[in-house]
Amino acid sequence: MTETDRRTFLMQTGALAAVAMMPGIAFGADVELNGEVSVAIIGMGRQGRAIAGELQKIKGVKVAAICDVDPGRLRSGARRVAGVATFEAHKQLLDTAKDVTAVFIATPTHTHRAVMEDAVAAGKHVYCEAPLASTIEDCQAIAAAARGSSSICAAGLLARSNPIYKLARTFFRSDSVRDLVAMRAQSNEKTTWRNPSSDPAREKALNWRLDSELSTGLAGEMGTHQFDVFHYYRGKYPTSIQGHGSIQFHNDGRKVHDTISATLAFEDKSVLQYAATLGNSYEGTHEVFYGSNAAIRLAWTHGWLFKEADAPTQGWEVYANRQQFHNEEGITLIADATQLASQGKLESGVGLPNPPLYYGVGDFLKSVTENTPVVTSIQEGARATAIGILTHQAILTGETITVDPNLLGDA
Amino acid sequence: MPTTLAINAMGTRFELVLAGGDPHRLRAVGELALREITECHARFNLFDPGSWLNTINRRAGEEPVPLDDLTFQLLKACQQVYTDSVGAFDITVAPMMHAAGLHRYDVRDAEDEIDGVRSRVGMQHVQLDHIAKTIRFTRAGIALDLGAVAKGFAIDLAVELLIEHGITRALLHGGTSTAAAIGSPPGQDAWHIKLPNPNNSPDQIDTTIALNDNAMSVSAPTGRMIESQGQMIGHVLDPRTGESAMTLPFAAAVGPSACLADAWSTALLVLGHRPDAMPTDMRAIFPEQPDRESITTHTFKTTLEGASL
Repeated sequence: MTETDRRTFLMQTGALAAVAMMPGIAFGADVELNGEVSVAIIGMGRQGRAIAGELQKIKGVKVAAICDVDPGRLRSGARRVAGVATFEAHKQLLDTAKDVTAVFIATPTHTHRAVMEDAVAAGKHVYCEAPLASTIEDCQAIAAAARGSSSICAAGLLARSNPIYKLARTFFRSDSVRDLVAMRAQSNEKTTWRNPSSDPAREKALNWRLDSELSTGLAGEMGTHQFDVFHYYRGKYPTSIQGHGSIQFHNDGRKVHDTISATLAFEDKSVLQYAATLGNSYEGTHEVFYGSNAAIRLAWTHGWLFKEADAPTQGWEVYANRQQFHNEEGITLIADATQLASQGKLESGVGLPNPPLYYGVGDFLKSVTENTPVVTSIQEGARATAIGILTHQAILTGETITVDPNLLGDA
Repeated sequence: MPTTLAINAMGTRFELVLAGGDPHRLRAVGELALREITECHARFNLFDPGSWLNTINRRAGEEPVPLDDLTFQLLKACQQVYTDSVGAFDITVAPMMHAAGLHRYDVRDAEDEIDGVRSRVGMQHVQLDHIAKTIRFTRAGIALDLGAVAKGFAIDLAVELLIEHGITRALLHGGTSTAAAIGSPPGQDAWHIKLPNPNNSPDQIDTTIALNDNAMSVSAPTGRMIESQGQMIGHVLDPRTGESAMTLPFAAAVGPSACLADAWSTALLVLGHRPDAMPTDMRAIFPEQPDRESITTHTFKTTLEGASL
């Protein structure tokens, strides 16, 4: 076989292999809805505004109403959404905005339960940001509210809707990674986590993440999203958790740790090492699966496969895009690589075309408009949230926490 | 000690200096302000297929696209500068920039030559409905490029937020080419911005601009240059002709808004003079002794490091 024949052969078989591995995945394609839908966003802080920005891009979505108890945030949100009605209380919105079919809850974590229960009672479909709650009790109540209603309810965890994560999962579940030997995740961002307000009286309420009575810390606020990646890939949940936390950088009187580490152990003896800090941004947020054949590194908008030297070569690798990380070469995990290569667009197409949030809210609205099951259920969100809360507790107490499987099952 | 924060966005580095008050609070307010910039970057990035700008570019040729107040306000300002500058500033210049090879992340299409894309450039092909607050392109192939104005717009939003949160002394710049000031450093009357003379010649005088509750922007061909048909050309094109604006070593605009200063500095570089319709609250600055034969790299420097805060 000549080199040209070999490459053609590999290209064709590689393309076939890729297609076989990702049935039904139109990689990073625009969200297309079956009809129009009128929605509301409750909570117009950073996340609420991000949701509004992604909804604005989806054809057929009308953001009819927004709500925030903070007048400044409400005003700021209204400037970013075309022709929107504004409300300072979520009940008022639910009572008044009758044309709204679905609501997005992006309020502080500890307030999700009340808003969720009211929204479901009002007959709205609900997308609830994660973590779902700051206590296990609220978590279970939210799951019960979703179960007991005919509303379509989804949790705001984004891995299961993310095209790169879905693609990488097919590799994880194939022979590409082989025997799992370790797992690691981190969330690094240099930020204060402090929300200033033009109204000093509002500062305490806005800074709920730094309130030790209300906050689930880095493990809850950041870890929950990442723990679900491991749940999604493996279908397994941790059985015991240990952790440590401290204030390493932000010596501003806070009591909530700015730097944490935790070890989450699974029944099969595998271990997830988790670390997060607010004092450094190096390598941002990512998750890594280490296998005997390869490691998969996921960074929300990008994903890579790092192969062991003795791992078998697969056909699709010939046309794969590669990136160098010091002494390591990562194969970019992206679908349609051969097609992009033939169009000379592989370099520009190595990342996710839209932010992960776009696909998360898009999947929820597809479920609403097509009346189909959600991609990320409230139950799965409650499990991830519970693990986040328990990890936070392990860090606070310094004790090993045994995860009660019934707790997750009931969630 | 001043509180300094910085982020990388819009292909450059934004730096914010805050003075006066509790440093913990200043940092928190500063982070919030810089978030306005990262949000603008995400929304208006032409090179991100998932940006709001590209959603507009894809859809506005097919149907009117509803705009939020902020986007409408930005595009309305761009339309006004286009009119007042007699087309020297034009956000529909994208196809021309692409054809000239000036879009750094883009793959240039060989058959796209400047002459061929001229019909796809012109703000007259953009309809802004001021009542319905929608945008529509009346000609196929139109694409908006906010590269000459988004930085200033983002700085304006950040400044607005800083003021809303009670900040009285701050300087914010994006890539040292667009800056806005709130008040002045303690003990000084203004934030003094130095524009070195074009050739860094000891015989020529640097231009110093005092900023206090206003903004400025500078445009120069040397901001980024590429080789085209054996010649080095600058990154600012005259949208009316497709020619690179190479006559002046720089042009600067000072005024109440960083967005307008950003847009006008580009227009002034293209025009080479102050047009009659330029708003009276905007000041045009040109090099006093431009040496048109030997344009060398120069930078827009702030005096942050030397300021005694």
